[in-house]
Amino acid sequence: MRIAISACADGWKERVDDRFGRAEGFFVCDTDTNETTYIDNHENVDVAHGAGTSAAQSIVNAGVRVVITGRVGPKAGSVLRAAGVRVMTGDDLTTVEEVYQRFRDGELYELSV
Amino acid sequence: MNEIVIMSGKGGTGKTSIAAALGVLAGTGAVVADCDVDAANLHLLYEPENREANEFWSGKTAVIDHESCVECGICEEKCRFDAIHEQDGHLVVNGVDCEGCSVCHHLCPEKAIVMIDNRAGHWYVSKSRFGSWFVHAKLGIGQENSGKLVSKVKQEAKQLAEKEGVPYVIIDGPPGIGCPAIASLSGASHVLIVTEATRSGLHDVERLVSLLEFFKVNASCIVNKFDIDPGVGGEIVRFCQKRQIEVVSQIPYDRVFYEALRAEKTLVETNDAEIKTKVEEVWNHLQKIGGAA
Amino acid sequence: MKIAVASGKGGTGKTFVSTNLANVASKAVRVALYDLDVDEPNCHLFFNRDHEAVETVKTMIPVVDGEKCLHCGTCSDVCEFHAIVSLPTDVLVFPELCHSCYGCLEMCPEEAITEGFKDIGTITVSEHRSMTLVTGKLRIGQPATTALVRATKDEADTNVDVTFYDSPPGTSCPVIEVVKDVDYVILVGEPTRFGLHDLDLMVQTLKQLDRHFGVIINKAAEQNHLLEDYCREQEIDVIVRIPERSDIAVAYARGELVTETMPELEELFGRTFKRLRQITVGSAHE
Repeated sequence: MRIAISACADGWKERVDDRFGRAEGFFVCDTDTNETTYIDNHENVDVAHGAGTSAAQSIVNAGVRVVITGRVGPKAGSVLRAAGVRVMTGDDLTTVEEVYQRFRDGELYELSV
Repeated sequence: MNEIVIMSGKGGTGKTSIAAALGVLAGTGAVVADCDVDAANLHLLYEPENREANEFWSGKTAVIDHESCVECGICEEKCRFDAIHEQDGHLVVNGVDCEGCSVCHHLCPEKAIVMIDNRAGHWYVSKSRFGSWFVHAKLGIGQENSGKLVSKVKQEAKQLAEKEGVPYVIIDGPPGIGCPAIASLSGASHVLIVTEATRSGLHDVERLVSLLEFFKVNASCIVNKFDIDPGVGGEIVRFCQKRQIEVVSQIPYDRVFYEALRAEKTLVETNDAEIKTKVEEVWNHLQKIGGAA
Repeated sequence: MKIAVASGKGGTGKTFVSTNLANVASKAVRVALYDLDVDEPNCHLFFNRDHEAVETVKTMIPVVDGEKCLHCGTCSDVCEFHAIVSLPTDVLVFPELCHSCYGCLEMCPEEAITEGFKDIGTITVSEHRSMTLVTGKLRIGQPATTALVRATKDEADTNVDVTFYDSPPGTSCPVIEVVKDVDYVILVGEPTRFGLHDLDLMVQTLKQLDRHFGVIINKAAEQNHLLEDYCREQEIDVIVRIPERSDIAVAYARGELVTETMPELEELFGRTFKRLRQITVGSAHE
């Protein structure tokens, strides 16, 4: 299963980006194969409208089933919901590596979108 | 972090004067952002040192390459914004009308149309003459996309506040209720409306309040120039009560707004004790709301 | 002849000038006044209107036929505004993001997309004596200011001698949509630091657009020559000065037309209109 973490850059040690639509990018990890990829979302950082739908489209296209992020706007939320993508969050999100571990340990909770 | 947006619907109600004064009272406890990017004025009072200037790129414009264009006219026919016309025997895109939708680019059989990025303006992170952080912008002459630049300025101000541990972001919002106004609202904790006691002021505040209700943002209101027409002033107050918006201040029509501007000062830097007290009351009110949130 | 009244900064008296100018002009010629400040239209507050007719303005949004759609993703790929999202078994449309460019409809290989519509606002046409008032009013929550300005302008009344456009504030898209094809632009300025700064932005914009324009100085005070000095330096025509007077401000606040209630202002606006006709002779394509 593929999970995506909104991140400031590509890498396990990078900081989690709190935003979904305007995140710098998404660090994607396949929990079965441990294979990782990175979705650059930089061009969405500056758009006034449509950042959420655009980022959600990228997530869906990448076959991601779980998104871990800080907050999700209403439009992106409706896309993710329609696509059956779960959205998880936690308190005080730090690095990609740490958040991924917390996810595996079942310490994150569902974000209502 | 608390994000307070000062809005007015109608222009010329004293919105920027109030925003500027609140920013001074907040001192280094607030990042101030000028989101009226079409006609930004706060920098005239804050005299910022421009620490960091950044280009703002946004949107696209179509350009036709005349070498490969065979003048088939498909682009002209398909453009919904009437932006492509023949000029001296060539099809030419009028940049002012181009919406950047890329439809012509996709439909051109000769692949003769490219989309280029627009440099839509600049944004700046500075320190005001009061030592507080100040984020502002300048839209390029004749440029579009002011809503996007509003989003950019707001975001930068928020990130800066987060990074520096500043508790408030005070935003001088754009007029109207359209794209820039909507962009300035996203994520706002509270809106302070500055209106004036005129028929137009009442009409505009009604529409602004409907917009705020649409986006579920709570608000309070200042009625400026209250004595210009106390009858309309009273109507505005009753309207606000009906819509559960607290009227936090009624300010009489006062030359001090004009005189302060002429002296390039904010309202709280003048010798007028009355206006100073009124703005301080508003700031206390906003802090109380902020504390409760 | 088409004349736009614009300002850069809000609250300088744009609506004050356009309503009174249109009112005075309508006593001599056939006039249409278009309120293109569609976010916050206020011209109608100053007139008793008859025969009011309201129409809804609709713009296109895509409607996807679920039977024909193969979920190829072309529509979402071509949409520059991210208004359409393609999921493996569904397509979602976000009307408030759509710019009605028809890109998805044109590009869909299965022809599975047809035209639907969203309401962006209304256009109201009414009569005030011999003047026609056309008002665009944006629907609350719609970011489609420029599209509605365009639609309101298109509600063309060809049967008039002079058309006035009351423009939105600012210097960006909606204002450009208003001034781009007029014969003349009146800039209403006020003599404050903010007023001067924003007037200058508008002057630069109009120069770039190659428009013919002049300035009306509103709220002019005896000892203040801020805008006169600027206009002289920039070689810009000052059409008229309107004095700062509290009785004018009060009348305006109450929704009065000063050209009906104050004879000296009727005279001043009458003179202004005459001056405008002289200035625009030759440049106008009537």
